[in-house]
Amino acid sequence: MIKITDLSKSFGDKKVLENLNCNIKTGSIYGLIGANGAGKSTLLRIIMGIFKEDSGTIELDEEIIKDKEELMQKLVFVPDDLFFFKNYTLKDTINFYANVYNEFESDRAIKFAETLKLPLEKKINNFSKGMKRQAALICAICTNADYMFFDETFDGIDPVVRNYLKKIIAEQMDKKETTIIMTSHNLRELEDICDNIGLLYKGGILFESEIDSLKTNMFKIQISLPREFSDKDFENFNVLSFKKSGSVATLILKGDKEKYEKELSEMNPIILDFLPLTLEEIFIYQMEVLGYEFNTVI
Amino acid sequence: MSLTQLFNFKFFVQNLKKSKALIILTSLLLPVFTFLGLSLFGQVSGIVDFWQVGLFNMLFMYIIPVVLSISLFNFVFKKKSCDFIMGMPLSRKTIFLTNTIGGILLIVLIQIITALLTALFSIFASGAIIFSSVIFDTFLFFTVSYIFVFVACNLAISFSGNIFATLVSLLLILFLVPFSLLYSRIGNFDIVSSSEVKVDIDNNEIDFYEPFNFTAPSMAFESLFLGTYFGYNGMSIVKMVGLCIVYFGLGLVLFNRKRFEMAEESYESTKIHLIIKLLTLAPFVAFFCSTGAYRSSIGWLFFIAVLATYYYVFDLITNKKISLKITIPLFLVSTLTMIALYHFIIPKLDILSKKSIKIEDVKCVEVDSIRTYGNYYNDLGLIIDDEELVGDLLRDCSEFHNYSPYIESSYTDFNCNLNIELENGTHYLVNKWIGRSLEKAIKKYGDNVYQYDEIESLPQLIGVDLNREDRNNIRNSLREDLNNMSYKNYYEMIKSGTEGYTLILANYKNHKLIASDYSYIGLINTSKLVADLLNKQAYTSVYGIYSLDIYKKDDLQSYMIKVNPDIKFADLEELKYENKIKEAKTTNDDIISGDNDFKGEFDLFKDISYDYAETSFGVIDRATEAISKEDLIEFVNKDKKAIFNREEPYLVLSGYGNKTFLYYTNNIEEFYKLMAKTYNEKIYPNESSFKLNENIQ
Repeated sequence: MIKITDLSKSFGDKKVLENLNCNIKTGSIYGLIGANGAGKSTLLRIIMGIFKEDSGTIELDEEIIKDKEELMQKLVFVPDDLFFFKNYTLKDTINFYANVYNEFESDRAIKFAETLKLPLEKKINNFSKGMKRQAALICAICTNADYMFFDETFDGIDPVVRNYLKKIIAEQMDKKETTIIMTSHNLRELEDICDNIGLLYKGGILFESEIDSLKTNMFKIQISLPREFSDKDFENFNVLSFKKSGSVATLILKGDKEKYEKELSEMNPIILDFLPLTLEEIFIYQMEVLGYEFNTVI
Repeated sequence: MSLTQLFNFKFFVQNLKKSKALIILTSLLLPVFTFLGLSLFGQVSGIVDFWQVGLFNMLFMYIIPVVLSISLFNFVFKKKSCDFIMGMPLSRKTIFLTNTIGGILLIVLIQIITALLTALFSIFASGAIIFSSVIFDTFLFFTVSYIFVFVACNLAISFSGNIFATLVSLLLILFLVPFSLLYSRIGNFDIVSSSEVKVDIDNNEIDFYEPFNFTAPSMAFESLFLGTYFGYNGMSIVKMVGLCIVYFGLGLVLFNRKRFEMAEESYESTKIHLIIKLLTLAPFVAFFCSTGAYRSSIGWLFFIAVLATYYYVFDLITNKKISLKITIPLFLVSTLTMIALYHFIIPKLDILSKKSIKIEDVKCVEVDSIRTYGNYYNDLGLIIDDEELVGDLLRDCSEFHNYSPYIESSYTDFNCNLNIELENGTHYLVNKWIGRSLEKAIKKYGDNVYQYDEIESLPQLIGVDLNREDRNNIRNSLREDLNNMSYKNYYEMIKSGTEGYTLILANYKNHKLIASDYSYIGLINTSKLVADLLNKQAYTSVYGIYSLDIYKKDDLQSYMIKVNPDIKFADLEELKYENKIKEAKTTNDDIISGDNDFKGEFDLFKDISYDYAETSFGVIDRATEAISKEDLIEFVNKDKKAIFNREEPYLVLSGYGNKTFLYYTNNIEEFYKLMAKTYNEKIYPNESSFKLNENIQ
């Protein structure tokens, strides 16, 4: 488990993180979202020990990391802006990882590279952006680290490869109880893989929840009644959004789906459709409830 | 702490691998250039001193450790690479220690290779003589120096965010304090440019400065600007080792605390940036103070313009952006403070290294060694204890500098190493140009017998391989020649020496090369011995030319033994000689003469003189040359065809007083006979005082 307590970090006069508190459960995939400059990458770099925090603590399995190599072996980081040694091939890079990570699986990394058709003997700096990210991700996964931090995880990767990478991340979690923290400013990218999601805003976690509970708790309906109706007709429901176009209204409701279904059926609707909500929609409505304009947060 | 935390070999190998081309290239520089340099020095002088072995070591001291340090730590200069390396499961301590220890091991390896190459060169190059202790001293001194620069650069990296900032920090670490100390002593840059240090002799007191014993990088610069001797310095080694430990510890602490978020920027904070920027003003401020520019408004205007430009240029170079406008008032105040510091306080620091000797406290002065016109110091060992003479001698030290043995002086002054002993037993070793007072001392002590004590020295004949027996023979012969000589004769002998030395007695004692060059005047036994050796080894010579010159003080008489084993080389040089002949003019005496400074010495054979000045020897087919000028030259052995074969090793004896003659022979015995005949029959109006015939029977 990663426990972050009162973490603050400033760059000059600019406060990037301010008294941030966060708990990340072991064995989960935690999606960290936030607008550009919200502090997602800074948070990851502080956890990795690259940046120094101004105040606060970060505990990994109840131990403070602070330059302890045995704890650092449990961490791997794929930054948003990737770096590879000049003139290094993928094979050289795999070799480098094998030299610094005790549990690195070179054969597995080579197998992944072959599946992804990444040339082992070609200099990585000649790879395309997407290929570089694939190379970095497979190297990171093969470290078998307990905690993996992926910044802008699937940036520049095409959907087919993205699915493959998600699959091997899932396999890795099955193989070993791995905790993965992914950042993105694109919610759609994270919704089908993350267990938990946290929204970073103004230096703190503005909103944090399990995705499953979010999805089961919120739903969208389209309804048309055999009479004139307005939002007042739904005062007994927890309505996050009400929009009416002609005789059909679209509502976002929060609460017990079965109960709402029963109560709405009693209104004898002409149309009653329950539609799935995307994570982005959930966030939009959730932010509106909290009084934020979603577009300003992400 | 586990061993892997101290040194992670796998990481080090990987870290080296990423910059392998640069590191290999840098590592090869030193051995290759040292080898090439030695080849050059070996040809010219034969005996190779510390600075010659270490010349390229000295030059590369500013490059190799810095490149090595920056290559190993270059990830700290880019945000991307910081993410990559610092995100690896390696603690900061491990990274710093691994790179530092690994870098030090690499430096040691480079130095070992260089030392081994130097040793190999000394074994296989017959023209060069390099004492093993010189090689060891060079290895030790420069290994410590390189490690010092490397560790200092690591320290600079530990608090700097980009390469420019690192280099600026490194320059400050290495040079700020020595620069200020030098400034305190020198006071103004006029004196720096003339490479002299001012010394006041006030009545009976002599003021001089003790050497700074700077660290090697500063010492090399001191040598460059002040002309001081750059050589092995034990005190400097101790300082560098001490500073290495301090810098290493400090670097480790700072690297542990380093905020890598400052990568690509100059320093962690504006405050540090400003402090560094202010410190880099030291040379500008020193120049401003020393030139007296502050006395005029134009000087101030110029200085302000320079500062204003520098203020922004520094930011542009180190931070790639111009900012910090808010710091302008602070910058100006601090600059004024620095001006005050360099104008009022730092010049007073010279008192720390200033020494005063009262002449009445001096017990005696030993003129330990003296350099006349040769390349090396000749041992003298003349002890002067007469109160008046001591006073004279010390007052004669008009520019009492214990620094530079190479400062130009008047023609009659000779550069002497003096050992001044005070009544309380304190010794001061100083180097001085002395003239008049030395002559007076020689008059007084001249009849004393010179004490020859060069048993441990290594005799060296340039280009000739000497075995142990040869060396012993030369030593014995020299001892015989020198032991009964008075100081007066000895002094006259070394005074009338030439730069065209033949025999050098060399030794490396107390980390200094001690060499004497002898020109055979008065060295009757040694002359004969050397002539024998030359003749025997005619074919083994690399450069193939030797001269045995015998001079009288007033009327020059020159005898040369020349061995010509290398016809191919001669063919090349012949052209050169021919060109010079065309430029020569004919004197009233019908003797071809050149217009060089050594007129008379090499009138006919001026190519030798010329070539020596060009630092190369020429080999000329003198027989052909002589025959073409038969009317000007008297051939002693007229029937030359019968006894002289140019295809064999041969000797050329030349002499000219009233008339020039040449003598060619393949037979050394004939040579001796001729010499004896020459003196006995008094061919020359001024007979030599050396009765060679007594020794050649």
